[in-house]
Amino acid sequence: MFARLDSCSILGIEVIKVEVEVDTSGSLPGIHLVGLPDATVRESYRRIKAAIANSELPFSGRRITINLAPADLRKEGSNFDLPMALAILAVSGCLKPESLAGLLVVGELALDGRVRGVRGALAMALWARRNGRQGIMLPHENLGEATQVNGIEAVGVGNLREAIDYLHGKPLQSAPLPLKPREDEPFPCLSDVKGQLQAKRALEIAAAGFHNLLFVGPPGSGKSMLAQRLPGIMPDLTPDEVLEVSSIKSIAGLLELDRPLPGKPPFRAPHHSISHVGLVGGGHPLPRPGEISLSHRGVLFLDELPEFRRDALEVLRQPLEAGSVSISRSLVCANFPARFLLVAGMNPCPCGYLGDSQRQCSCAPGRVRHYYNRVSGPLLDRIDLQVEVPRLAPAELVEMPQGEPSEAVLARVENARRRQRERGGEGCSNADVELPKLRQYCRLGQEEKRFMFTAADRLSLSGRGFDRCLRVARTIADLAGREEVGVADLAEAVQYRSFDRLRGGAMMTEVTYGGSI
Amino acid sequence: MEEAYRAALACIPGMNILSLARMIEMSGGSQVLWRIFEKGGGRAAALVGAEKAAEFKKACMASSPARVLKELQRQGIRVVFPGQPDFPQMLSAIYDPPAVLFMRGNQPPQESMCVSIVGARKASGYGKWAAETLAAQLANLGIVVVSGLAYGVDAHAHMGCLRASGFTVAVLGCGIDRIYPAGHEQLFRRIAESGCLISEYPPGTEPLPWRFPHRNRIIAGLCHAVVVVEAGEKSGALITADMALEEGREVLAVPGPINSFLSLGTNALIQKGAKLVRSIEDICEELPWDFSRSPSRTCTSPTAGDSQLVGIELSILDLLRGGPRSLDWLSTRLEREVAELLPSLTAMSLSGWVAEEAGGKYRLLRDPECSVP
Repeated sequence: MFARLDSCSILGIEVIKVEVEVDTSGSLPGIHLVGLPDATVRESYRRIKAAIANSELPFSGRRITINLAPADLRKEGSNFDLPMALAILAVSGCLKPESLAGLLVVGELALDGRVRGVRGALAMALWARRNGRQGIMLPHENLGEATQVNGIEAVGVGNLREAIDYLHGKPLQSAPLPLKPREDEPFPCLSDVKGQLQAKRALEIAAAGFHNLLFVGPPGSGKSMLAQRLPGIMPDLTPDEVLEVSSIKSIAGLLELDRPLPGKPPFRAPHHSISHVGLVGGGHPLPRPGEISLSHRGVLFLDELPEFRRDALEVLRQPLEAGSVSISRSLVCANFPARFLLVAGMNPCPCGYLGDSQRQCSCAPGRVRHYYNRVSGPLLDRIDLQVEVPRLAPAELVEMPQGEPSEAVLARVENARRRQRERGGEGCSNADVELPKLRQYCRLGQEEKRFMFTAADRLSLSGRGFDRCLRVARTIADLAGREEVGVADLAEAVQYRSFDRLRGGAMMTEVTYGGSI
Repeated sequence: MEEAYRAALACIPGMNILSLARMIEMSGGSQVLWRIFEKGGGRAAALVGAEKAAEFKKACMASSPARVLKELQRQGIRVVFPGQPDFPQMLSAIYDPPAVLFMRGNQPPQESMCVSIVGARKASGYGKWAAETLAAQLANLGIVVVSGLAYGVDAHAHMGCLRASGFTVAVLGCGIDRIYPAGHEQLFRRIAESGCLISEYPPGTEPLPWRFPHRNRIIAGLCHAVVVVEAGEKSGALITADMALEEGREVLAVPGPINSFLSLGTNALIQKGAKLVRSIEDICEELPWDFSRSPSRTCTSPTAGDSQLVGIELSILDLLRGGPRSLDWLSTRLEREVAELLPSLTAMSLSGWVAEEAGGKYRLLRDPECSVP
């Protein structure tokens, strides 16, 4: 007897079809599992055997050979429990092999026959729709996410018995779980932060042009508070983006199964002890998405930037440039999307109080220099906005006005995004646009050119710094609804280079007070 | 040969550089002293003790003055000693001039005036600005600026002088082949190119804390006047000022706000009678000028830059008169958006009216109401 059905596995964020084939032959009883299974898969036949017995279903008394095709791909995880059990039941005569045709099945079995949830159900449902499948059978737990993909029949089964009944044509007992309404946990409002007007302005520019951002400020100045409010002033994700972002979350097993898919950009803030694999993705035997992919189309906040391991920071460079990361290992190669907005926070010196009005800094100049050196130049080159976030005295805090709520800022950001889309097409942002195009978008007049040359000369701007200013100036003009980049936009843009200035001061590479002599 | 013997004596490991000059004088010449150490025995032991005498004997046997001099020349290091025409005249007049000086770079112009600018390593934006501005103005007058290559005021004094194409002298507290602090590598090279570096310590000497006060006596000794820009209560710059007073050199201090710990030292100096520096003229008055020979005396007061302040810039200027202020503060006071103020602040900092300093504050550098500097 022979039976086959389709299941699938996840590689990177790609879904790979895996055919489960079962054959019985007339020799002694036993089970042989072939097709590069890893330990979890190899253990699965013990779960299957118990689940079938406890569901009071017949188990073939002959020798069973299970093949997972393609045979050269490593199989990982417990996705294949349910499809293997169904195929075994088909060869045992409990099911007609034809009834399995066209169905995509995933699910993990418990010993009593219950079906447990799997990771990546959303991505699988999307794949099934793309490949013209009629339906997907998956654990009842995962039904919530799969039903959010329109145009495919999602069958959620709670236990092995239910799966058999469904295949015999009986209606399903268990209704899909009602989704709890998303308590639209609104992102905290920008008006909670008092003062810090330049930092708030930088947040607005970052959200509008997708510029990476660096906050430099003493402890307690509100760097994290500000960063947490960034997703709140970013436009909602489009329906396609929602599915893309959620399927990455689903693959990482981080999707809340009982709620609708989140429509806001993700916000991730990993601790600085993270390894480079945790940050960009990787793992054995199949690579999993890292923090940069989990913050795809959202915000990755790295607080205490110089405390991160150097190797972890350096691997960020290529994804920041490419918007995706390719993880290649000896046996597999996986691609993960990673277009994230990097927000980094750091202290102005190791003790944190350099330039503070209330406390004196206790760091030797050499130590400050060493601290700045931990952030490499190539990484800094990808950060368009650098802002100092001073600590406010309690008296100043009381005096400061509340400031704008997030909604008001969001409206301007949406406008600026629309202008960028109209200019450069879908998904075009000022931070990523290629240089020739940038030059085309920022045509500088005589006066603007003269200003930039003076600025480049007096502030010792590098060629890269010059381009960074152009990008930021373009976004500032977009926020104001101006067609052309003007002197005022450029003049504001050169102010967002605090770190270069601080570091220049520590390194003695920058000649300050150039204008006074 | 005198310089070879002096250099070789200074290069003996374990030699006390500070008492070398006295030992040479006592024994009747560097060559005689070298022979004494080479021979070892009672006379050497009487000078440095038996243990050291034995060590010195070994070292003397292993090296030769000619070889030492040749090696130094190969490294581009010149050796000068008191009495030579190349030796700074001002320095030979102090109580304990160094027995030998190691030099790198160009020969300082012998007949020029020298002024040293010293101050805190953790200088504020004001201190850095003052050091740089005063140094550049002194350089414009053809005055040599002397300092100690430390972070903060020292570095900015060198930089200001270099930028005005003046001649600057850096006096090191370590061997002349060591770049200390390491962050000043670029500055070190630029000074070696267009100025000069001086040390009384032989090449390879470590920068140890107690060497810097001794180094300060050379900084003070080289100059007609010492200008202290910013100094805390226990700053090394105050040591330099004391030494300058002992040698009868002028001591001037740049005043600072009374609530800044970096001004405690300078303000105290002024109270004790140091001359208060309001502008470059105050420094010039104290120099023994030969007015007939002074070059370009006319270009002292710098022009106010190429820009006139307009509109909101004048209001910003007015608010900054009260001290450094944050952008938040300016924005609330002026009731203007940050985005409106930033372009003005850029324009003002490009034309040198204000500067941003650590902590995100803007500081007024010049005031149109005030002619200085």
